[in-house]
Parts: sequence; C-alpha cells; structure tokens
Amino acid sequence: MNITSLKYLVFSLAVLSVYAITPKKYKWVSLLVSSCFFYYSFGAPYLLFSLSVVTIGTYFFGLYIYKAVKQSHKKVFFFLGVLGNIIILILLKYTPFIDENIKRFTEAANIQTDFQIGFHLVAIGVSYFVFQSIAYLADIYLETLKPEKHLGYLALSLSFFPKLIQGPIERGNSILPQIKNLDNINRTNLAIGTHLFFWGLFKKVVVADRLSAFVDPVYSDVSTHYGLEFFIATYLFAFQLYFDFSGYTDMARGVARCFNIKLTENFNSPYLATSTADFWRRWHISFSSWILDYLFKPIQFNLRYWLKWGTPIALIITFFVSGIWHGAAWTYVFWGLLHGIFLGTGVVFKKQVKQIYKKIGFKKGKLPDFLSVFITFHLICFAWVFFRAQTLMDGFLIIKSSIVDLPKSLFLVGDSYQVFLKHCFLGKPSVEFFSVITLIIIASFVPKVFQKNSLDEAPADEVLWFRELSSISRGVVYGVLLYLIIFCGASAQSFIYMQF
Amino acid sequence: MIKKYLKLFANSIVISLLTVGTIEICARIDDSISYGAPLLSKYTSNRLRSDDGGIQHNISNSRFEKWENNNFGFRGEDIQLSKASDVERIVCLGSSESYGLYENPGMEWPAQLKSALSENSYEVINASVVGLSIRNYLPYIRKYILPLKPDTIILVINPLFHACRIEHDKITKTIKISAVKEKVKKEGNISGATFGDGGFEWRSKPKIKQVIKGMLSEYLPNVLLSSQLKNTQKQISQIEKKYLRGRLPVDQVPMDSLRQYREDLSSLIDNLKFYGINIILTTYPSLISSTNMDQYPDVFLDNRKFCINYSLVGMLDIFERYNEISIQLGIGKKVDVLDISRLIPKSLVFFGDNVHYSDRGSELIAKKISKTLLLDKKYNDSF
Repeated sequence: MNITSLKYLVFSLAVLSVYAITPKKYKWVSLLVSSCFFYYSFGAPYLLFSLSVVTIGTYFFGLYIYKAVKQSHKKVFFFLGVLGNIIILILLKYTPFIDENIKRFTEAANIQTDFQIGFHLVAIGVSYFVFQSIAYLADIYLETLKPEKHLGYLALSLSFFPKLIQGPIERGNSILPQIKNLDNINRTNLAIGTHLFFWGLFKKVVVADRLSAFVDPVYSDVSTHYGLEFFIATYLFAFQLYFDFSGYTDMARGVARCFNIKLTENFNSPYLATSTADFWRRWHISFSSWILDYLFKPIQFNLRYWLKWGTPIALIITFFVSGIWHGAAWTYVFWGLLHGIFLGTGVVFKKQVKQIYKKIGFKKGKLPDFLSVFITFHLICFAWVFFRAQTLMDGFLIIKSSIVDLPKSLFLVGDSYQVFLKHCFLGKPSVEFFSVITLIIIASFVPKVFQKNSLDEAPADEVLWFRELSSISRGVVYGVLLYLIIFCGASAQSFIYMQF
Repeated sequence: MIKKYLKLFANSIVISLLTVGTIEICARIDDSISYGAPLLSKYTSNRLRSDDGGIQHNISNSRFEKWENNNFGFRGEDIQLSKASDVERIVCLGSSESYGLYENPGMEWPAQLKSALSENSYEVINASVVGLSIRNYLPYIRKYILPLKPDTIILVINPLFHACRIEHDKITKTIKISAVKEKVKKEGNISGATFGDGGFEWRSKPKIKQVIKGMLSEYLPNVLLSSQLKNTQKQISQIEKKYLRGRLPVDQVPMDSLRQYREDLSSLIDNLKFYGINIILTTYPSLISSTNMDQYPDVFLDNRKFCINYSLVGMLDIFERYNEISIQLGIGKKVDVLDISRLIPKSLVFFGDNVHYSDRGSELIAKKISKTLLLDKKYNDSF
C-alpha cells in the first residue's frame, strides 16, 4: 500500500473511524490490528512474521536484561537480543548483496563454487523496526528505560503503521508512554495531523516526484551527459531526496498525530547546516541520533586510548555502518565512508583549520555562515553523487566529468545559447525547469515566512504556519495546495528511503 | 455555545468557498501556462477549426491543450509553401484518427511516419481535419492541399462519417475534445464531455471529473464500467428517441450508401490522379470486430452515439463493406492500397477507442506506410 495512494488515505480514515469508536482501553488493539493488516498488505507475509519474531524476542530479552542480577548476565542477554535482531536484518536485507559479492570474489579468485545463500526477499521496513528494537534493548541495558511489560504496547510501538515502513526510528521512552495513554481524537491534533499529511504529500508528489523527472534520466544514463548537467542534476537530486524523505516523514507524523501520537521530527533545514557534523544533527535526525548513541559513542569509548585518532576512526566506522544500513550496495558504503572521512577530517584538523581562519582574518576563527553553508552543501552534494549513482564507477565518472567537462559545457554559451540552456534545463522545457525551482522555493521558504513561532510547539514543526493564517489566506492556501497535489502531482514513484 | 458553532460553520463556509475559487483560478492559470489558454474567456476545441464557406479546415497557429496547428493550420511543425526540389512531399489526409486524439504529441501516425522517413528525402505533412468526411475531401484538397504541390497523398477515410453523416453532424456539435481525454485513455474509459454554450464554464470541473474517474478505474473498475455503460445506454436511448423516431436501427448498410461511397471515392481518386498526385489508399481500422464485441461493450456503445441509425451489427457491417469497397476500387484504379484494418491487433493497447489509435497503434501504421513508401522508392529508383 503506497502511502501516497488513495488506498492509504482511505485506510487511514477507516482506522481513524474505528479508533474513534473503540473504548479507550482497547484503542491499542485497533491500532495494532490495523498496523498488522497494513504490513500484510505488502503481499509478503514473512515480513509480518519477522516483525512478530522481532517483537517477541525483544520483549523477552528486554525483560531478561532488566531482571538479570549479574552484569555479565545482562550483557549476555543484551548481546543475544541484538544479535537476533541483526541476524533477521541480514537475512532479510543483505542476502542479495552477500551472494553478489561471493560470486564476484570467487570469480576473481578463480574458485569453482555454487555457494549461494539463495533467498532474496523484500525487506520493506525491516531495518527501521530492527533499529528501534536494538535501541529499546540498549536503553534497558543502560538502565535509561524500564522494559514494557505489556507485549501489546511494545508490539504497537514497533509496528505502528504510519512509521512502520520508513521511520522515524522512535525511542522507547518517547513512543511507549504515548501508546500507553492513547486518548480520544481531539480537534487540534486532527487539524495539525491533516495539515502535516497534506503538506508532506505536497512535498512528495508535487516537488520530489517532479524533480525525479529531471534527475533520473541523467543518473540512469551517465554516458550521454556531461559537465554542467551533472552539477544541476546533483543539486536537484539533493532537493529531491530531501523533499521525498521529509515529505514522507510529515505524512507519517500527520497520520500519527491524528491518533494523538507525536513522532520525532526527522529534519531541521539540513541544507542550512554550517558543517557536516551540523548536517547530521539536521538530517534524518532519528537515525543520526541512533547511530550517535548506539554506535558512535560505544566505539569511541572503546577507542578512547587511541587518543587523537580514536574519534575519527569511530566516526569512519559509524558512517561505514550507516552506509550499509542505507543500502546493500558499494555506492552506499562509499557514501557512508565519505561522510565518515568528512567528519573525521574535521576532528583531526580542527586546530589547524581554526588557525588558518584566524590568519585569513575571519572572526573567532570561523568562516562566515553563508560560506560555511555553501561549502557544507557542496560536500553533501559531492557525497550524494555516490548515493544516487547506480554503480561506483558511474559515481566516479560523474565527479570526473563534472570537473573536467565543466568548462566545455560552459563554453557552449559561445557556440549556441540554446544548447547551453538545454544543458541547464536537463533537456526539459524552460517552463518545467522554472516550475520545479519555484516549487523548491515554495516548499523550502513558505513555512519559514509564515511561521511566527508564537505557538507552544517546537519551531521545527513547520506545518504550524497553517494554523496562523487567517480564514481567507487559509482558503487560498488550501486551494493552491489541493490543486497542485491533485493535478500537478507526478506520483506513482515510491519513496527513496523506503528501500532502506 | 451556539454562537461558537455558528462562527465555526461560517468560517468553514468561507474557507471552502475560497478553496473552490482558488482551485478554479489555479486551473485557469495552469491552462494558460501550459497551453496558452485565455484566462477569462471560453476555452474549447472550437479554436482549432473553422468552417470556411462549408469547407471545414484547421485554423493556422491555433492551439487547444495538446493539439497545435502550424502556420498552415496543419498539425505539426511550421512548413514552407514551396518545397525543395529533391524532396518528396507526402500529405496525410484523414479525420480525427489521423489528426491525433489519444496519442501523445508527436506520436500521431503522420508524425511517426515523418520520423521513420527522416533520413530519406521526404517531407510529411499532416493535413487531417477532425470530422472531415469523404464528401468534403475534394473541396478541402483543392483549397488547402493543391497549393502545396504534394507528390503523394495518403488517404484515410472514415466510413462512419459517410454511412451516418446526418446524425453525426448533429450529434458531434455537442461533443468536445477535452484535455482530460488524454488521461481517460490511459484508464481505457472514453467518453466525450458535453457542455452548453452558456456564460461561465468551470475549467476545474472536467479536471476533477477526470481525477475521480481515474481513481474509480483504479480502485473500482467494475463499478465505473457498469455506471459508464448505464450512462451511455441512457444517452443512446435519448438520441435514438430524438433521431430515429420509432424506426429501428439497421443491421446492414443500405446498397444506396455503398453505391454512393463507391462513386465518391472513385471521383476523389480520379481527381487526384488528374492532378498528378500519387495516391496511397488505406482501409479503416476499428477496435471492435465480430469476435470481440463482448470484450469492449463500453467502447462500442460509445461509438454508436455517432451512428445511431445503425445497430451494433450494422456498425460492424459498415467497416467491413466500406473497407471492401476501398480495396476493390483501389486495385481497380491501380492505386496502392494498404489494408491497415487487419494490421492493428484488436486491443486497447493499440486503440484509444473504437476508431482512434494509441501511440503504439499509430506506430504500427507509420511503420507499414514507411515500408511501402521506401519499397516504392526503391522500385522507382531501380528504373
């Protein structure tokens, strides 16, 4: 069931209706059953089975960790619980990758073998609930969370349908208390939820999917494009990915909010980050905080005796894992490593860089914000090339062509202005190109312009600007949004982050 | 408490009205940006065609939605009146099936023929006019085609216009080509939208209707199909009542009509030959045949609206008999005859409705014609 489909909207309304008439005590049951049905609707029953195994395993290991008296026992239960989750994740998500690499290796080494793990399954949502389960076990192990004694509540916290297939990756101490206190639908949350849902839908079907029409032809056939085209396609991809994923997150948060559940905000203007470290505080926040807490910090702690090199190596390892989590392909691994290197280099050369800035004359040894944002954005885009490229070779070819062939594509101005424009607009009509640029501007800045931050909600809850509009402005905004979603949406594209 | 609810109600009404109004404004701006449509005045397919002294023709440099006419009023890119000496000018002449209805722009068969022949010295012009019937071919050719000095004319003649001309002329006045048809085609549901001549016209209404249809065809295809069938049957019985006045629709084409068609076609061929134009005559393909009548009841019934004096069996008879005449006459008069009616598989993959093609249907026709033209050229060059 595609989350941008009418089916999903009808399903959500049906669940909401059932939820509304269900007595408070059993509201969790209606949500759990609906979530199971939602997951089952993907046509792969083993997914539901895996979710059940993860839930039951996590439930019991959580209790064992909590009840174990000796620290060593706690540790054993914790590692067993985590190992079980990781095995399920590997079996469901990484077998094609493992098989492919075994084949490559045996071919390269001239070894005759037919060994294959064999089963290649669809793993929608698995990495999200597995990561949430690991976080739950880790929190109990670290004694920052008490285990949930009610299996139903835990099951719902892992399977809650708005966040099941693409996150956010919720922490136990954030979602469990909300699930335990499910309340009747209230008008304010319903209004915020509806606004969030449609704003997210707009970002996904109108902005991101339109951008994909520009990006996909370039990245799927790198041999016929060069220079400037790669630059523009990569910039547009940066925005496509952001609007695709943040659109989904808004929709998920919107649906959840209708049930009075507040999910974590995953984005906070990531392309305004002033460093790559800052970027990871603003991009896929639920995931980056997860890898920070459960991966980076333990590794860093274990490498504390490596002095200066401990943190950078911990960062590289962490982002290597992050790359693998994003996808079973070397392009993602390389993308993760690049981020690890960006962050690690920042740590290693922090002092030297500050000294250089001071020498140049920048105040407080810092680059001006706009310059930091500009450089960070380009570093992020550089890494996105490998994230989007179909193969590592394609990625390198794009980088090479972007640098080597850029003058060639810029000199086209002298030859033929029309050809130059064609390159700039990636072969699409200028009206279409400027429409998407306008849409990017609208989606990026309209909330910021209207947001007065006068409400109690966090400023990151960007959709609250809707509620600050007058009736007249609201009618106009609803009209424009509905028109764009219904008639200008280029949907039927699945979410990029769903594959992770 | 009541005051609070009244305020809430009034607020909701204001927001709803503004939302609806904004959607309408957006629809107009969208049409204006996408197709250069006027913001305030009416926007219909009538802007594409005109009836100049009884000769139906396209208006030059006009546009309606995806349909665009060039500087001569033909579909496609602008052309020059005089042709280069080494270029063979081919004019494709038909009605809506050749002008292009369901195809994406540039995918109608004459445009695909142009692409197929691009490496050879041919110039392909799509001079088709929606609703052009055989009786209007000659005056149209004299006025609009002969000045172009064509070397070859490819004739696609819609038999329904001849067999059902009285009803067709009256009924088509209430049918318009709508943007939305483009989308409907994808779902396989085809029906014309009617509109009145009154003042204000909602531009957003057909768009909304189409989205709803699209959703229904995706999620409740059977419900949509049965409701469409019901609607079409209702429309047909109304049209029957109005035009047949108690007479029964016929199952066979009257001999008089066939004789008349033979004479008209014969005269057209003779005249073109007289002007020294090479002729390629085609048969007329249709989706429905006697073997698949039950498969597409909605499509066939929809087509019957234009041919109300014939029963469904009678309509099949029209295609069969008229195509027979085209083949016999073509062979008799020694012109190239392409039997494209048997070329296109009877499926909605190749057809948009009973007589209009999809991109793929047009592709098959273009390939067949280009093959014939290139073979002819090869044959002529060898002498």
